[in-house]
Amino acid sequence: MKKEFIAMLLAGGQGSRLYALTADAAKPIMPFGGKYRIIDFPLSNCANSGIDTVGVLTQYRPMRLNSYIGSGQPWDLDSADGGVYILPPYMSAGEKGNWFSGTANAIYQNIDFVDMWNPDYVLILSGDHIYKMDYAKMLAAHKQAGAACTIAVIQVSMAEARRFGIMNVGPDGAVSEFEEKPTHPKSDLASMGIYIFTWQKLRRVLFEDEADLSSAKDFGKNIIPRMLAAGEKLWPYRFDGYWRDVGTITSLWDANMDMLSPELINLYDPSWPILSRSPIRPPHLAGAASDIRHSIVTEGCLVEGSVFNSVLSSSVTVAQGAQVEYSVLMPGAVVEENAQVRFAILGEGAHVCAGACVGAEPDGTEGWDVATVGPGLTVGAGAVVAPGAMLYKDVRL
Amino acid sequence: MKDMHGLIYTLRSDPSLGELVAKRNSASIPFCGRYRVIDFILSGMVNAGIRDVGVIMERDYQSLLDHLGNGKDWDLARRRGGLRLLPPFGLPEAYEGHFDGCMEALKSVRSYIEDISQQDVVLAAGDLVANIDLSAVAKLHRDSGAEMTAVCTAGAPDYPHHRLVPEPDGFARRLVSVEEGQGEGLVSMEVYIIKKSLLLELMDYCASTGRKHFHRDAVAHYLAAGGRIAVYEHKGYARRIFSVLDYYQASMDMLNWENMAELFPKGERLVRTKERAEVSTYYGEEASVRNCLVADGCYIEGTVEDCILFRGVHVDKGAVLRRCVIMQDTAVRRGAQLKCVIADKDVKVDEDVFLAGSERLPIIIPKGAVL
Repeated sequence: MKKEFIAMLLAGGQGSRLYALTADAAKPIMPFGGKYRIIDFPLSNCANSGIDTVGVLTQYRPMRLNSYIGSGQPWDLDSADGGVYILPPYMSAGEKGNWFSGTANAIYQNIDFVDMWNPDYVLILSGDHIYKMDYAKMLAAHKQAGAACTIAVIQVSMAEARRFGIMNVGPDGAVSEFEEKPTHPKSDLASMGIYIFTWQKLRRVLFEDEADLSSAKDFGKNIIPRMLAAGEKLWPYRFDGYWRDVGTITSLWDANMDMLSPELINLYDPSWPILSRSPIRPPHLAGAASDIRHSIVTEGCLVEGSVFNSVLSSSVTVAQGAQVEYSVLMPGAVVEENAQVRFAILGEGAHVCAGACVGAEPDGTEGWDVATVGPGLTVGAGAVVAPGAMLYKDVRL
Repeated sequence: MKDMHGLIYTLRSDPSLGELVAKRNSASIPFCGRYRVIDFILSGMVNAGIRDVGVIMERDYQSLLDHLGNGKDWDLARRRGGLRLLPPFGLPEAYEGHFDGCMEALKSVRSYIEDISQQDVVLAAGDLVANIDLSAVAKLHRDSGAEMTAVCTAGAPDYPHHRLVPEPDGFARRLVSVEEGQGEGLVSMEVYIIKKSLLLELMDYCASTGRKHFHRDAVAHYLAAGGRIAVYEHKGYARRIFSVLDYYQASMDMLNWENMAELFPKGERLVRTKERAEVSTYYGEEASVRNCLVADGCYIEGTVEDCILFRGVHVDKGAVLRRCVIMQDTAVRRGAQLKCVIADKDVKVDEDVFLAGSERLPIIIPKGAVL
């Protein structure tokens, strides 16, 4: 079957900088913004952009990710000609199988899958970004420029530019140079890790790169520089909407807080719905003594305490007298009577017992940070979890 | 429970449901923030492992068709069996758009019933709000050796109903209708497990004698001929929706957490419904929400007390809602005040509109109205 345009979604990363939160499941499955999982954003963008064939490359602890994606039905990706395909590393006859050793190697190992669709263009996506983007517009720009590769870029401050892969643009508008995390950035256009390749060009470069034993087999570090060196036309596609990489505790917390500001990213826009697989839960109950303001609350929650500036995923309980402020509560988290949760992330099923205290407001001291309680852990009655703490095991008073 | 077949009848929409059933059947009235009434019995069947369900429809079934679709959301989109929608077909000329009774409705799908491969049929009305453990009912049915088992509940509802009077051996041999006096026995919830062969016999009896009703004709005949009915008592929340007042009171019942816990037992017997792409509910900085049941996708900036908000409801700053049921995608603008109002889907309540019903007489705003 011939497809003009397919997507390959890199969802195999561990997200090691999220520590306890990703100990049991890959980062793309991380609950986000109440109703969602991170991977809902790229999958929904694909569906909304009219892409009906998506390969999802998995590697790190894929079980929950696999079952979440399932047939792809929530994203209307369960179509007969196309659909969503989970692509784990695999064994081949006569040779040892290999883990995906880099982002480019993951695609290299699935060249057969891409070839099966004989696409003109391939979209490469990451499973850990929060944004709404019409890939069809990006493809139109790619075709118009006649590029071998189009790279989505976003303007960042010069100070931030040191943390990103930076694209320097020549007088003709094409990318002239790519610098990974430059000390002295020459431009403020950061790569968003979203690429459209003309498939036959990428295919050739993937073979070349695979033969290079010194290569890290990474799109940013190897494939893009290799294409530049070969004189291929690389085109920047400027994106001016909301986009966040949620690779760290701080960025995950920040981006969740951004969901409380619909002017930053409007999730209530019916023309571009972010779709998800929802658990089956009744509506949430805001109790007689509840006080919920500037927050997001999801079905299945029971709120009898106060919730300010917070994001509650499904089936969260906040008991009477409990206070939750500036926090992210993942599915099934429980905050018992008179407990306090401030500037914190509670993993799935985390349990904060009566009178316990997790996190604190920023007080300007060095080392202050968001407190994190790993999934399924218990903070015992009256126990205190300091700001910036990362819990891997239960704490008792 | 692959050895049972579900059969739900969604009969006439009682005129006393007024505007709520102007464009729909009573089984498809939106209820409890995100459900339709039929979701409860349909989920109950699925949760008991039933894999084949037929839904008999009467009139105004378009919204029911739209809601049930191919049964995917109840896991009933099956290659073999699954959900079968049974709209009126092959009817006698006398049919005037509605069936007079359950037996008449069953008669219209006789060939479907004949083709049922299972020995037992779960026969249920589609207008019941209850989360029944049908596995337990089936166990009683099997263990007791009954040909017919009734699901009953204690209490004395104020609508017309039938009662079964169980004897010490657990079987009922007597049926009491409401006209014959209150209090005796248990109230039939119109959920039965019945042997298919017995059901066909009773259908034959009713067809040959021109009788149309399940209780007063078929059940009464069965008992008079020496039959006995095993009685299962359902202990949790149960209410049938016959009138606007029933609907409003059942809705307000949902604001009591104990009722909710009975209807939605934690981690078991999930109530399924048509899925809708939705975002979590947003509470604005000035939102004040007390004692409310709120579905996903709402955008709340005003004051809401003792209300049920369905998916996608918008409440602007300065709007005040008290003891209201606000259905899907309805928007209440700044300064509007509603009390004891049932707003159907897609209603627009403009700025500064003031509308107040009473507990006994809630005001209904019909679907799509602009105020």
